[in-house]
Amino acid sequence: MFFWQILLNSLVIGTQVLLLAVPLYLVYSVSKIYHLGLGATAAATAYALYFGLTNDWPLGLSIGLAVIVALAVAGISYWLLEPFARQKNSLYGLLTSFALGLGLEALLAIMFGTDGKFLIRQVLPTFQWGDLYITQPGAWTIIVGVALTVLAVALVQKTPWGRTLRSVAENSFVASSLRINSSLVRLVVLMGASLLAGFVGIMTSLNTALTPQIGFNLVLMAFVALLVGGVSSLKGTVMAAYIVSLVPELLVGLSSGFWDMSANWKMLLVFIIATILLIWRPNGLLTKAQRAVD
Amino acid sequence: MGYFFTTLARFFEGAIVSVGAHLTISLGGIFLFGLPTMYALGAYAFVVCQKFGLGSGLSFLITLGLVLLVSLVFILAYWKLSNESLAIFTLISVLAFDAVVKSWDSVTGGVLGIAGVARPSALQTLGQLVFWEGALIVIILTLEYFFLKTKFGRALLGMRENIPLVQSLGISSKKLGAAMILVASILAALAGLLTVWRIQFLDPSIAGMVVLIQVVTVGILAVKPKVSWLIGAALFVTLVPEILRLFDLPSTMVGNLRVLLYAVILIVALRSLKGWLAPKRFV
Amino acid sequence: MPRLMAKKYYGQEIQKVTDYYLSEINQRAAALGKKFEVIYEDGKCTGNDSVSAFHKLVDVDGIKFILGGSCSSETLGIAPLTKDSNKVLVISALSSNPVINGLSPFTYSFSYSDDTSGKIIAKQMSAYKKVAIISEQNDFNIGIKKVWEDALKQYPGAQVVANEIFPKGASDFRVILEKVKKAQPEAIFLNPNPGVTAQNLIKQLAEIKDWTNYKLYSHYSYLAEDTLKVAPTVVEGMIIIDAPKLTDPGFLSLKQQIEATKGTVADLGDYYTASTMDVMNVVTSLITELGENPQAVRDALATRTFQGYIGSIHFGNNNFPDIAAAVYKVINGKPELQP
Repeated sequence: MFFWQILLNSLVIGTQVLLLAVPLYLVYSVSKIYHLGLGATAAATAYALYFGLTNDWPLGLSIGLAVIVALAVAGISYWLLEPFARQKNSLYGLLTSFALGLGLEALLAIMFGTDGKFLIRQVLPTFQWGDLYITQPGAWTIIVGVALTVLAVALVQKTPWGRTLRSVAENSFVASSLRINSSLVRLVVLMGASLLAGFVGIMTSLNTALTPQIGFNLVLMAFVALLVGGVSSLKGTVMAAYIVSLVPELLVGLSSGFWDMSANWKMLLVFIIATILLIWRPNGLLTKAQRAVD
Repeated sequence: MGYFFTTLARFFEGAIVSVGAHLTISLGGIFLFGLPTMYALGAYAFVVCQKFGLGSGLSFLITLGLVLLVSLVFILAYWKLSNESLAIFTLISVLAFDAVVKSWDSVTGGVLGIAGVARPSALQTLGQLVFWEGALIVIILTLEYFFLKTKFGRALLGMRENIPLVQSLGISSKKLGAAMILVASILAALAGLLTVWRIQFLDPSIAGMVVLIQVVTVGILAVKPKVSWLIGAALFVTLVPEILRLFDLPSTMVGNLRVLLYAVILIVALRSLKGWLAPKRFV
Repeated sequence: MPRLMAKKYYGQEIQKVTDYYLSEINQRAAALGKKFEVIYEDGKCTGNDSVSAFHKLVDVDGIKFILGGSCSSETLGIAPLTKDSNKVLVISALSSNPVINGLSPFTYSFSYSDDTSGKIIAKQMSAYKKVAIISEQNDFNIGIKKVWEDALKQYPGAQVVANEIFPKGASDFRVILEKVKKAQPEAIFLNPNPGVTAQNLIKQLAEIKDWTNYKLYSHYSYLAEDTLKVAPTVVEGMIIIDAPKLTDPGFLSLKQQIEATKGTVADLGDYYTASTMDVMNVVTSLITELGENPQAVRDALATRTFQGYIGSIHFGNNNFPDIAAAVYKVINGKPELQP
C-alpha cells in the first residue's frame, strides 16, 4: 500500500508536468521555439483567480478573469515570439521567452508579494479507497490531465486541424503557399497553450500553495520531458513527462537506510536521469536518428 | 572607499564571467547556461579544499581538475545535443549543483555556508584584491582581443553564422566549441573564487538565477565581437542594481524590480538587435 | 542607525515595527536634542547580499550601528567583517543560529539561540522510542535540526526513524509525509519556516486521515493562531517551544497599536516584535549616553543588564542573551503556556 500511495502522489506531480509539456510541445512544433514563459503564464493565471476570489468576486467572474489573463499573456507572447518564429530563430525566441517568464514572475512578486497564498485555506477534501487517498484537486488534475492529453494527441493526429498544425510544423513556407495562415495557427496554439498552462497553475495552486515561482520548476521539468521524449514526438513527450517526474519521486519516497534520499536531492536526480536518457537517446525516446540536413 | 572598491571588484568579477559568456553565447552561438554552475564550483572546490587543510597550490589544482571534469560533461552535451537542448541541460545543472551544495552539508556547510574564508597573503586588503582583479581582467580582455583577430577567432564568429562553411575551411567546429566551453568554464570558476575571496563568506546563494540572468544579459548585449561592447555590457549589468539603490523604493521590492528590469532590457535588446543577432543569409 | 533586513514577510513586518517604534524613540530623544534615523537595506536572507548591503551602509552611508541581519545567514555573512575592527557594531533582533556565538566581539543577537529550543525539544521528545523530524532546508531550520540531532544523542532510548528535508519554499510534502508515516514514529518534530510553508505542511499532514498516533512538536513557526487554525484537529495537543510568553501590558498595547496602524505582524510573533523594539531601545539609549562609539556601546552591551520587553537581557561572555525557553501546548487551537 505504501508503494501505491507514493505512486499516486507522484502521478499527480507527473500529470502537472505533462500538462505543461504538451503545450510546450505544441508551441515548439509550430514555431520551433521553446516557450519558457509558459511557467509564468501558469502562475499569472492562478494569481488572477486568487485576486478574484479574495476580492469576493463570484467564482464565474474570477475564472473569467483568469481566462482573460491567460489569453492576454498569450497575446504578449505572440507579439514577442512571432518575429523569431518567422525568422526560424529558435535560440533568441528561447531567450525572449525566458526573459518574459522572469519578468512576469518578478511582476507577480511585486504585486502580490513572495510569500505563498492559498486558494483553499482549509484541509483539502480527499477521495479514499481503503488505505489509499488522493486530494480532490489532485484527482481532477490526473483525470483532466489524461483526458486533455488524449484529446491533444487525437486532435494532432486525427483531425484536419491537426493536419494543418503538422503542416505548419513541418514546413511553414509550403503551408503558407497552400493558403494556410501560419501566423494565425501559431497564435491559436499559443492561446491554447496558455489556457492549458493556466489550468495547471490553478490546479497546482489548489493542491499546494500559490507563489510567483510555482511555474518555474514545473516548466523546467516539462522542458526536460520534451527534450528527453523527443521534440518531434508527442507520445515520447508524454512518456518522458512521467519518467522524469515519477522516477525521482519514487526514488525519494522508497529510499531508506544507507540509500535514504530526502526531497532536497530531487533536482540532482532529475539532472542525472536527463543526462542518462539524453546520452542514450539524444534524439528522444521514441524518435529515430535522422540524417542531418543543412 | 570600501563601497567604491566593492563595486569595482564586482564589475571586474562580472567582466571575467562575461568574457566567457561573450565567447560562447554571443560569438559562438553556444548557449551555455551552465556558467553559474562553474562560478559556484570554482568557489566551493577551492574553499572546501582549504577547509580540509589542503595547501593553496593543491587546492587550486583540485579546483581546476573539477572544473575540467564538469566542463567535459558540458562539452559532451554540446557535441550530442542541439543548441536549445544544451541551454536547458546546462540550466538544470545550476539547480542540480545548488541541490548538491545545500544537501552535502558535511562538506560544503550546506545552507549555513562557510564563514571566514581566508584570502591569499597577496590579497589581504580589498584594495589589493581590486588591483589584481583589474590587472587580470586587462590581461584577459587583451588576450580575447588578439584571439578574435586570429583564424580561430574568425572561425568562432563564423560558427554563429554558418557552421558547414567553417568546417569546409578545415576548422573543426566541435573542437573549437569545446575549447570555448572550457575557457568560459575556467573563467567563470576564477570569477567565483575571486568573489568568495572578496566577500570571505560562501553559501549556496553565490550563484543562481541572478548570475544566470547577468550572464545571459551580457551574452545578448555584447553581440558584436568587440571588447568595448563586452565592457559596456558588463558595466551596465553591474551598475543597474546600484542605480536602483538611488531611488527610494521599498527594500523588499528592489530585488524583484532588478529582475524585472533585466528581463525588460533583455527583451528590448533582443528585439532591437535581432537584425544583428540573427545569422545573415547569403544568397 | 541602519538596518539590514531579509526579504519576504520578515523584512516587511520588521519594517512595520521599526517605523512605528522609531517615532516613539525620537519623541523621547527630541527632549535631549537627538534624532535617530533608520536606513533600510535588503540582505535577501543571503550572506552574499548582506555583505554588499553592509559595505554600502558602512562605506557610503557612514553607518556605525547595524540592527540586523534578520536571517542567520545574513548575520553569519557580516559578522567576520566586524571581527577585527571596532568601527561597526552589529546587533540582530532575530538571528538565532548558535554558530553566531563567538564569531565576533562586535556582533550580538537579542534572539534566543536555537541551542536553547533545539535542546529542549530533544529533551521533550526523548520520552519516545521512535521519533522523526521534517525540516525545511533553510539556515534557521537546519541550524535547529543540528542542535536537536546532537542533543538527542544523549538519550540513547530515542531513535530517529525518519529525518526528511525539503527544499526551501517547497509546497508538496505528501511523498515525504508518507515516508515518515511508514517509519511509524511516536513523535514528530515539524521544522518548517513560519507562514505558508508551516500551514501547508500541517494541512497536508491532516489529509492523511488514517494516521493519528503521533505527538507533534515544533517551535515558534506554529505559534501564530492563524497557522494553527488551518488544521485544528491535528495540532491539538502540539507542543511548541519558544521564548516565554510576553504578558507585559505595555508591550501588548504597543503591539496592538502597531498592528492597527501598520498591519499584522503575526509571522514575526510576539518575541521578535519585542526583541526588535528592545534592540532599538537599548542601542539608542546607549548611543545617547556614550555617543556614537561602537567600542563603548559594545562594552556596555557586554557588561550591563538591561530590562526589555523580552525580559532581563544580559550577555556576559556570549553573543546571545540568557533567555530561557518556554513550553506551550496547543489547547482548543491556542498555544497555552505550560508550567
